[in-house]
Amino acid sequence: MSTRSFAMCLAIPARVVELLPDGCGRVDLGGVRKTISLELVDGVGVGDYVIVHVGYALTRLDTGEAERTLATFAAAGIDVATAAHEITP
Amino acid sequence: MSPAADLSIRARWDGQRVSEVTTVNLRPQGAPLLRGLTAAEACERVPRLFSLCSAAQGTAAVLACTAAGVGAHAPGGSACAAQLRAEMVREHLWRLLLDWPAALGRPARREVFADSYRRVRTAGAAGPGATWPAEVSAWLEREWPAGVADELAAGERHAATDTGAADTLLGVFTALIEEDRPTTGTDMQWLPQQHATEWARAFGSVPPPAFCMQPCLGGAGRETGALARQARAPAVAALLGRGQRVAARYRARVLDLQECLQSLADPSADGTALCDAAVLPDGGGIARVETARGTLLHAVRLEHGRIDDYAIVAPTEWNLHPDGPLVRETRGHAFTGLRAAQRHLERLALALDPCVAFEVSLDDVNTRY
Repeated sequence: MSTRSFAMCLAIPARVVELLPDGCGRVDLGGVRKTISLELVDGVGVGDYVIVHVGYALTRLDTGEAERTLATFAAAGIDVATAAHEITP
Repeated sequence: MSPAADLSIRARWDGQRVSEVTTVNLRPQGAPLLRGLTAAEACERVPRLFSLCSAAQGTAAVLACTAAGVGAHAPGGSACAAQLRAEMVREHLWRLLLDWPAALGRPARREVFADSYRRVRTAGAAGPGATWPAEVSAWLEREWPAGVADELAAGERHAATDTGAADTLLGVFTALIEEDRPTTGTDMQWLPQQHATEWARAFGSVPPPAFCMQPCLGGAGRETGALARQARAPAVAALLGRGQRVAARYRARVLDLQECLQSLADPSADGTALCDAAVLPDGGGIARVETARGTLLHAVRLEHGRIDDYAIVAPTEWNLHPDGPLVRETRGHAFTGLRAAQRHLERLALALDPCVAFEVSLDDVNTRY
């Protein structure tokens, strides 16, 4: 069975751990915490999962979908904590 | 150098010229993510994997699998085209309202962007009665008085006489025209906008990973994206004729955005096929989807109902090829100083629109010792 690789803008779910003023929030990605903007997504609360790109939450995921996606990345050996540095400024 | 960027552009400055340019791809690899899955499982997973162009990626996966003979629910028609165009609108607005103002040292237009982004996402694909394409078009007309922009592009109006507000799309374009260092003596090589059948003939089978990371056509790195689509438009051609390629890419992006909005407002007038698929000679399937950043290709081969081979060739890899437009338009080129060279590299990289964060570092060889 052959393998292929591709390097993309991976949608790594981040868990919202704190809401901050001015439309911001703190998220946790693999134990790394980052402050991001929540301006693009409505109704985000603590405990929700969001997809982050260059410091913005783009969409909200339900918990089941987020956990499945995180499991997929873990099985592939993708270090979510390292990715945290790459998807947030 | 900070490890924060997925894509690292490293160059050397010899006091007069950029003597060397390399691109280093630090992004996490997703090799096993689709291996061994059924087509249905892969098509369910793909849109979840990508943060920006999930609609395009998902469409490409379904089309490729269908062409490979698995799955009968291929997307198509006006609803699919509308979803893809809406995604293109979002991506264009991100660059135009957030990244380009920041590149020129101006405040990002976060409120306008957030409002537009939420409106586009909430409305989803435009259908009969959808009003947001017309609303965004009306806003764009205020930001971009067409006559002024075309005169600037043709050199018929001096940028300093433009009365557009500095923070509008036109204001940024005006500044780019003033500051864009002309590039001469370097060919431009476009990735052709061709149907999936032609890609199937060109590839023959699922392309290998080395090709996916550094794709080339005819032995050369090719440019894909708004400029490749709009290069023949008079306003864009005028800028290219003067060597103002960064400004040309910005102008092409605005033109791309205008066309997307027009197509969404009147789908019957949209004559462009945004996506299609074909069977590979070896029995696999290949799909082509046009995105804001350019042509996206997915190729797949299945064995016993499961994915044995999968490849994605994305616009970022075409445009940031080691012998692609970024390198060709900077390596060996003279600038007035190190800062000017750094600025040009940063703006050119932004104009080529990689789908991940990038950083540019310029090493002055004269200050090493």
